[in-house]
Amino acid sequence: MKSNLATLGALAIVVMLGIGGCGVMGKADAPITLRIAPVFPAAGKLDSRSVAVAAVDAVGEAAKSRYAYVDPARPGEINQAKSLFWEQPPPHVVERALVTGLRTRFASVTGPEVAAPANIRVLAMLDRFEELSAEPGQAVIAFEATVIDHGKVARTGKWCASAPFAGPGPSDRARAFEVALIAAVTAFAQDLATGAPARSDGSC
Amino acid sequence: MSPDTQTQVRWGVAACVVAMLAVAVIAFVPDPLFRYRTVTTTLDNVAGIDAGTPVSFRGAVVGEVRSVALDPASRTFRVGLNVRRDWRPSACTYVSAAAANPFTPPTIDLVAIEPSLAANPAQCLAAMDAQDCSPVPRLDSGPAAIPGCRRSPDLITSAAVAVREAANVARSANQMAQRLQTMMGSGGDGANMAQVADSATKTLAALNSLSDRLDRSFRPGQGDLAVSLGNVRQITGKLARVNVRQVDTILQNTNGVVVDNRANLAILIDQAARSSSRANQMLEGASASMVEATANLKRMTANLDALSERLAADPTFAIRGQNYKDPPGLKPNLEPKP
Repeated sequence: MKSNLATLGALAIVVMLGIGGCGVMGKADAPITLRIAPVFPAAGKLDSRSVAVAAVDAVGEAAKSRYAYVDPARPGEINQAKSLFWEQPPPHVVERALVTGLRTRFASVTGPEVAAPANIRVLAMLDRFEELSAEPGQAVIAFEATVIDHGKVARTGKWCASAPFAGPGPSDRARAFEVALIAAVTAFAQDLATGAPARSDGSC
Repeated sequence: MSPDTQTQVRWGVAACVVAMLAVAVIAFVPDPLFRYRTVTTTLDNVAGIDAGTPVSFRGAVVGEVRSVALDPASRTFRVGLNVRRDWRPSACTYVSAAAANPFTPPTIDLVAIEPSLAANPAQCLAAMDAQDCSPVPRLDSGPAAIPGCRRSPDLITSAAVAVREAANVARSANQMAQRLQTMMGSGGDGANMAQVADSATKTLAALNSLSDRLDRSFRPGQGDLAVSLGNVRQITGKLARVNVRQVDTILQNTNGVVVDNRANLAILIDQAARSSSRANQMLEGASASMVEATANLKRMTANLDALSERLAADPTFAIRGQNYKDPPGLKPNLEPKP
């Protein structure tokens, strides 16, 4: 009987410690998921060549769904936000934007989910997809791309764009990223369609 | 009247021994209820195949590999398969092992061709050949010995070889086309024509063999990377065969061929160019899939690497998590917008 009481007492202590521990841990984070849905304006007559966009690659923080930001005073340090997340990893966002953006210039554009042959193949690598936390803060997007036309490297270059936040909220940030993404991809699609020389903007 | 104590102990010990025997039989005999029977096959390559590898029949798992043993004399492998008793082979049955590759687990398929399609051994061999099964010489005979097909080479190796061969074929097709164009421009002569037609035959035969091999390597369900080249083979293979026949005809009628067959030659050049272009496009598509798979693997490896580095530096990281901070100036939208 005595030993039973001791066991019950020990169990009660463990349960109380557990409940107390949970209380100390405090409130759980309330994550906010940001969605980017860029809409590209029509660009006139479509090029008849077919384009295949390969899976966009990225390394480091640019590949992750957690929102990244950089303090201009410490540009070498990438910080990760506590409660902001992208709905899809940035490489996938850029990949879908490339497919949608190029469709305004080319008649047939497919993503990596379709392993079909095409006249032009676009291989992109995402370099930056981050907030520059200045006053005002801005969204910065940069990607490198290689264009393969009929099996030969036809063009390489880096395309980037930035857009200021209109306000302090998460939605303002998402809209700014959307604007920057539309600008970078539109510039790339235009260069590809018109054959303009690759851009090498020093700010990228 | 109940039995005496000694008799009860005897019966008890006997019951224990019987129970232990039953447990031993269930534990150590592979198929104590005789639900499976063993058939054997012969394979030339058993990469990834060992005891326990599932054996399928038309998509259903009907057994597993029981044993793999090397036959030193023939340098092939005797593979024992435990197959469900209710599975019956047809007169024309063979075993096909999928190509070894790093993306899909090895599988072994039992293929039974119905008697209406293969009524005799010759038809059986023809049907196996039509399904790209080249049988390995059997180590055993009898109804429990099923022939096995030669295994396709590793997917990546075969793709690399195919890419190399496609480049050679395309180069040779280009040379042939240039030569024909030159000859047609200058009027041409019979002897050169025969030479060019011969090289065209070789080129198109090479294309045909290449598409056959690609088809074997990439067939869906046998180690494919979501790329089905079956239709490409149907198109390219058929074209190439037709072209080879056309070229043979040209060889037999060398006299005056340049004058009489300008139109045919133009079609030949066009078709050869299209065949090699299709092979190139097909390989480009396949290579894109492989690049994507590799990129995913690379990303996963990098993430695992980062995690293990993190845990090595601070083993409590897994429990404590990371102390993230939101960007400065972030004000969450607490009030919903009207």
